[in-house]
Amino acid sequence: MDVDLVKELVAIMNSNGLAELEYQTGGVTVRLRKAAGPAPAPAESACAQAPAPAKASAPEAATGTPTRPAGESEIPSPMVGTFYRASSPDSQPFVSVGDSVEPDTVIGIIEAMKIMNEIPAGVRGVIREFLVVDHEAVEYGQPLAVIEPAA
Amino acid sequence: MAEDLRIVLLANAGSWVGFREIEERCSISSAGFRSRLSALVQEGCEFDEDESRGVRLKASPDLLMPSEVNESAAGLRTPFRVEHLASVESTSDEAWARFDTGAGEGTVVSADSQTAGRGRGGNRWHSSPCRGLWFSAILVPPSGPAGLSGITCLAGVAAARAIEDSCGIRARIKWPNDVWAGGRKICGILAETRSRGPSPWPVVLGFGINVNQAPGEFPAELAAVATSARIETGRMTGRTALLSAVLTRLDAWYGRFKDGGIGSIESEYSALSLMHGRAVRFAFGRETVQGTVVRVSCVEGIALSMPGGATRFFRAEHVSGVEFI
Repeated sequence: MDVDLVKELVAIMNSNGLAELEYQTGGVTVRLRKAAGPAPAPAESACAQAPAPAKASAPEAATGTPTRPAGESEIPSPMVGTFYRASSPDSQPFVSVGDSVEPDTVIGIIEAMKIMNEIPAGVRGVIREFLVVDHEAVEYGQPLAVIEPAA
Repeated sequence: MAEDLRIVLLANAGSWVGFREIEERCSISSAGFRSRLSALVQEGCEFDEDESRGVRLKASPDLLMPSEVNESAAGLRTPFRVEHLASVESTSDEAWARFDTGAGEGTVVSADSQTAGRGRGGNRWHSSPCRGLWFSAILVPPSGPAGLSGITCLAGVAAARAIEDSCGIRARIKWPNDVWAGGRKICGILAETRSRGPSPWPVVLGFGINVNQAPGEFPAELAAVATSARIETGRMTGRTALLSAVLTRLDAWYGRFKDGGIGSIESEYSALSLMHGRAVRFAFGRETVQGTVVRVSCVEGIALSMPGGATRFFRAEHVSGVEFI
């Protein structure tokens, strides 16, 4: 095992606020997971300046889930990437709070390395809230929006 | 509206088109027809002419022969099969429509012209009829969402290598997978996927490769940023051979990716990158950053030397809208 590689991976985790990272190369798989507890302070000042998109939105998600009124559900992000609420900078958002949606209604796009993924509402209902803003970096499983399913 | 003689003859390749019909469809005089025909001969077109039957196109670098592409793809591991159409709005939309009705991995939809070719963020892609390769391929990588970055990168590698080998020019990759030659964009690739939970996610990889456009054939707003193989080399490149070359390389790199994961593309991707040492600006989530590229990795992302000297790492999936400054 290459110690420098592990050091580099740890640096990547720290600079991006990651709790877990899996790295595959050739036939080797390295999986690193931080112990629960306070995150260690970033080692370098350069890392300290790095935005932590996961952290920024985590409190919202963490406080949001338990207080969610019964009957409302969240639309989770199916992948890591950047969330867009419209198909182009000049377009209207796909949907707005208060809009009624069908399961296949597109609520946004997630882009990761120029791969576009239109995110469907998944259920029939009414959009109650967006938990991320346009152009926000999102993580796998991060709640994107709250929907109140139709009865 | 008058039609372009080149397009009329290409659309009827192998068949006779009467002089009268040409005169009417192309609103062209006899002298105009002669000068246009000799320009096409200069481009490598071959014709038969007959006083009573008219003119018949026998060969042209602009002629895309799907049967020949499919023959050359027959031995590949990915079951590529090209269906070539005269005109569609978008080859990617057409590929998804086929996916929805049962088409699977290896289906390739190609068109002589696109009326609404799409780029990133709602940008239009300009598709000169019969001058470039406009096609979309369906892949269903077994790895699910985690491996999608690899598809982006291997598509760029396959396109760059195919353009280098077929056209004899140096082609390099601008993050994440535009292909540039001579300081301008020669190929754009836009991929789309659909969430499928833990099952494999389908990907439609849309390619636009500028092949035989002459210098004056790009719209004015693109002339400074777009190029073609013809502009770079002064020669025509056969569209049939180039499409075969892209699919052959796509198959090879996709195979390596399936066997060895994204790490098996890394060294080739980095070697072909145009980014090293370049000053760039991009979006990182909601933040806009700029700096000088010190490292490019399809596995990890981009490392920038920031104004002030610190090196900062940017995770691949959160980098978008990269431009040179």
